[in-house]
Amino acid sequence: MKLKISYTILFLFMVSFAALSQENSTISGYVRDAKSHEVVLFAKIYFPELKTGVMSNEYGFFSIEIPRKSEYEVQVTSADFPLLTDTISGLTTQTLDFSLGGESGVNEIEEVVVTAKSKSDGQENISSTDISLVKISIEEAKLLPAIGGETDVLKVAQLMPGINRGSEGGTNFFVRGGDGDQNLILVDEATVYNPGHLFGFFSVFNPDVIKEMSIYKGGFPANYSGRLSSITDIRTIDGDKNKFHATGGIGMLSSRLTLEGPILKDKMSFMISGRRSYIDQVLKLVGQNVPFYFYDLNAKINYNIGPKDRLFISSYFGNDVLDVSSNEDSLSGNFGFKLGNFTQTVRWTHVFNPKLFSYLSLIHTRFKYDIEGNGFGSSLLVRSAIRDIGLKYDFQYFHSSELKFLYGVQVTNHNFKPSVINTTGEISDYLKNKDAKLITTFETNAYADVRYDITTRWKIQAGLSLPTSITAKKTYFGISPRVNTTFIVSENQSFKASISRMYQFMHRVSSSSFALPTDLWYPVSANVKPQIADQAAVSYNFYFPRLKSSLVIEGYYKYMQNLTEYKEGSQIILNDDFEQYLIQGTGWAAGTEVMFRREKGRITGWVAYTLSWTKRHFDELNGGEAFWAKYDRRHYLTAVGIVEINKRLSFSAIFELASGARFTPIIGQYFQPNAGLTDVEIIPIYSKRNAYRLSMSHRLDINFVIKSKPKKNPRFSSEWHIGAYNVYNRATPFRIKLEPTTDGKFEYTQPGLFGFIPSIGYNFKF
Amino acid sequence: MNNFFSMTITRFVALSSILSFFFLASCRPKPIKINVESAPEKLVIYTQLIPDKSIIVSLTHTFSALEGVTEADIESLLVSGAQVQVKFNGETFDFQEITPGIYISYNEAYQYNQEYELTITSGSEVVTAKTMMLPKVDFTTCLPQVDKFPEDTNVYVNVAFNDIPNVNNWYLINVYRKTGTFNPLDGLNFFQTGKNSSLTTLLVSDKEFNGSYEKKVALENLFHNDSIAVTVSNINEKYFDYLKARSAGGGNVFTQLNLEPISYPTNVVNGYGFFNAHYPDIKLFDLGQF
Repeated sequence: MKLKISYTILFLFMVSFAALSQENSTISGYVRDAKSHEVVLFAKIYFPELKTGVMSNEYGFFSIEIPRKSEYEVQVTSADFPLLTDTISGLTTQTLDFSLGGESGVNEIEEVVVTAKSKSDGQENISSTDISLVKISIEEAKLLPAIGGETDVLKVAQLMPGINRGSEGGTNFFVRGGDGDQNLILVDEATVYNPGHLFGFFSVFNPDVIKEMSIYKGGFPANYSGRLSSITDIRTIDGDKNKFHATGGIGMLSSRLTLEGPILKDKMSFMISGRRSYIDQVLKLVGQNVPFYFYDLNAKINYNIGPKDRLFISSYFGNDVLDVSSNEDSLSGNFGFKLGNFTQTVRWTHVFNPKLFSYLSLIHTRFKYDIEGNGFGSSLLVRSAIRDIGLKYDFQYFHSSELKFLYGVQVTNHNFKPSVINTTGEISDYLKNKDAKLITTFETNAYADVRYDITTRWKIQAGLSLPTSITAKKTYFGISPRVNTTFIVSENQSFKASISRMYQFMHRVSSSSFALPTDLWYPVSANVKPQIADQAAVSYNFYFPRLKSSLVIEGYYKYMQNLTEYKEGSQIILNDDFEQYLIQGTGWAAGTEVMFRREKGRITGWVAYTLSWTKRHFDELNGGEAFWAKYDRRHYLTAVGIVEINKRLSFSAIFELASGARFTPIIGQYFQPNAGLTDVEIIPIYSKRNAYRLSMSHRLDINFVIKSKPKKNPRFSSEWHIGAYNVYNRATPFRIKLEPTTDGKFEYTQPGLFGFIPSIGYNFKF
Repeated sequence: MNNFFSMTITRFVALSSILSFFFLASCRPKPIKINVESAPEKLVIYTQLIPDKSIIVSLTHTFSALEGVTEADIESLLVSGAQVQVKFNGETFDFQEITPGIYISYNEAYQYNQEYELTITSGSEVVTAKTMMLPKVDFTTCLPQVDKFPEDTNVYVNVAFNDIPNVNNWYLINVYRKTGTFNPLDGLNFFQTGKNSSLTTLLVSDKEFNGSYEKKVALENLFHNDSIAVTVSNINEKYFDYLKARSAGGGNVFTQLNLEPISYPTNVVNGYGFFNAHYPDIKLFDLGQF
């Protein structure tokens, strides 16, 4: 009954727009980069006289209704471009495209750059209803130090408040006390199930192809669903419609090359980008055999079918490959694995009328791994895969500058095939052949979201999402309300609050001891209920105009139900019958996040601090007592600075100070006979679950970027990156180890993974 | 464009040379020491009950994970001089220490379907444990099967027993091997002379079968002149969970990699180990006769 009412409200909400008033003039169109003709996302179109404006959406489209008048001054701003000021007619409804960063008469680029800078994200944040949102600047990320010099956007995300890293160097992250599988990562709307290369030490995202990256930690807009703790939305570049470009880089671990350009000038463009690691090839030169490499490929075609229609086709393909082939005189046999993601998105955007914008997406994503080996008369093949096919139809209705509606539907077919095992020979005594059954589920979501400026100071964004999961034996329905509100105290000060409920219909099957790329995803079933999280957050936002800096202080509380864990002693690896091991419990997380950020000027960067707590409770674990989550880091401080020393030289540094992850040590032992009473065994005594914490870690990374002389070749530019990770070579503990001492006893030590690692890289663009 | 590529290749070669240097220059940081408090020392018990005859208790104490203790050091962990008592049917009986750390109580009244309460006092430490001695279950079938082939011989043992009705039950099946044959082939010869080895342990809940349990158990590492012993015991649920946890704690390399810490179940209050009171049905076979 409750669900019926919800669907009815949603339906009425969707169809009622036609009845709304259409007086005044409507100005709509796209905001584009004047040079590449790429659309500019989240640019602000502002009418000073009316003191009102609108933001371009994730496709660069905007629409605003203004009172009829012969002439208006309009300002178009975006963080990465200088301010554009123009005069337009306000007498009629019309379609206008604004070009940012161009050299036309309307965009006095040289003058504007000096006298009027665009607003930063921090400044825009004051009046926006977005809360708990982190935007990663790709240009900034490229200047920062990184392990091996490999720019990694997920590691930059881990420097933001509320986003804890897992073990050192890994791409796994934990948002506001959530688990590692509660983060949805979308690339052009397709889910990427495994975001890590090289056992998770490098992300699969090639920085050269990313246009925009946003991470929602809370205050989730209703169009996002599927995970409890975070949504990472990555949009790739469309490809320059005007000129051919190449961008690339040679690093210590991998090299990359991106080509983009017009297929039909101003109508159709392409982008293709490849990356491959070559440590295997380099070490081969010095006689070392490290037969491991990864590669990935991004491709996109962007076609302006007409003024109202655009088509995007984008794809990501990447694999990690290990191929250990024995020499003729070796008895070690062959062993290898291949694992990777493959995604495709076909999107059609259509402007029905100046106020109604839509995008239809057909999405396919697949993650699979194969492990193969043979030797000593045995052979092994383990295969696992998940494949999604989804259709999504979204609408945005720009009723006025104060009122905007978003609504849509999505259906996704998930196909899971975990752990197909084929063995021959002796190994088949230990690993039996299994042809895992195909598990199919359907996940649907219908949502509506309204963004309304109640007054000039008070804004609200309220939405309702109705996620559903249909499994073979049971159907789960969810009612997921989302409300964000902003109270603007002054031009530079605001308070925000949000509440949201999120549902998650699949979970990652992994041991909590190790997060492996071979971890499997498994859906809800008749016995395994969906995970649910209710989150409330409040924030205070302040912008310091003289410092060009922003301060955000945010507090949150999150209560999670039906979290999944595994019974003690579960054997998960190579086992497709997970359900017998799964147990469900509850958890909570609370914390305060502080971020001080400077986005403009010669010195930019941020200081982020998180104070947080997170606990779990499972009847079957820890004697039924609540226990701290593994990545319950009490304090997490990061400081990131980028200094533009001169036009050719910049310096950046990252300092991280973090409480250690929690662990469960062996605190004693005793002897007991085995079940047959034929022998005695040493039985470990563990502390309470996660009762201890690894030592606090701190680390400093630095990087210099030296750009080529600008006048030498105007079309060609390049830069050298010279940096170092963990400058003072301090261990960041990732586990505890018993080490023998000279007197025949043992002591506990905490090894670190990475020490001082210098890096050098070369990037170019033409 | 050609200039660009030649320049890039030159830089790539230069960079590759530099890379080797940088990788060699990378260094591993020194591990950081950490103090983890050891668990307070506690008593550990293990018991064996023989109906109509005796209960044997071995008493040791826990030791720090930082001690380099091996199986050879077990004697140093045995606890002497403790007061060990068992209470059942309203009466309390004292144990005698027959060797350091091993205590025995002879009593013909030890019977099935009785609850026993064990109390051990050692200095200021007092541990207690309660257990029920469950009815014995007997094999309805227990017969080895030896399939001889020109190049190999496969050995199985076919076992069957009936579930005890109207209650939930948990069973422990063990198969032991001993090299050679014995005359007479009896439990005393098999279990008390020299070392026998455990071939297979099966833990079975009556939820896994209906009424009668039957299984053909494959046995490995046997010779044609070996002897085997096959036992089945009716054990309580907590001991079953304890043994399950113990078997999960060992296993192959995959389980070791995958393991989270396991809290082993115990019925000992203020101590560790297990007070169990099961008694097996034992069948002995000389494989040379099959």
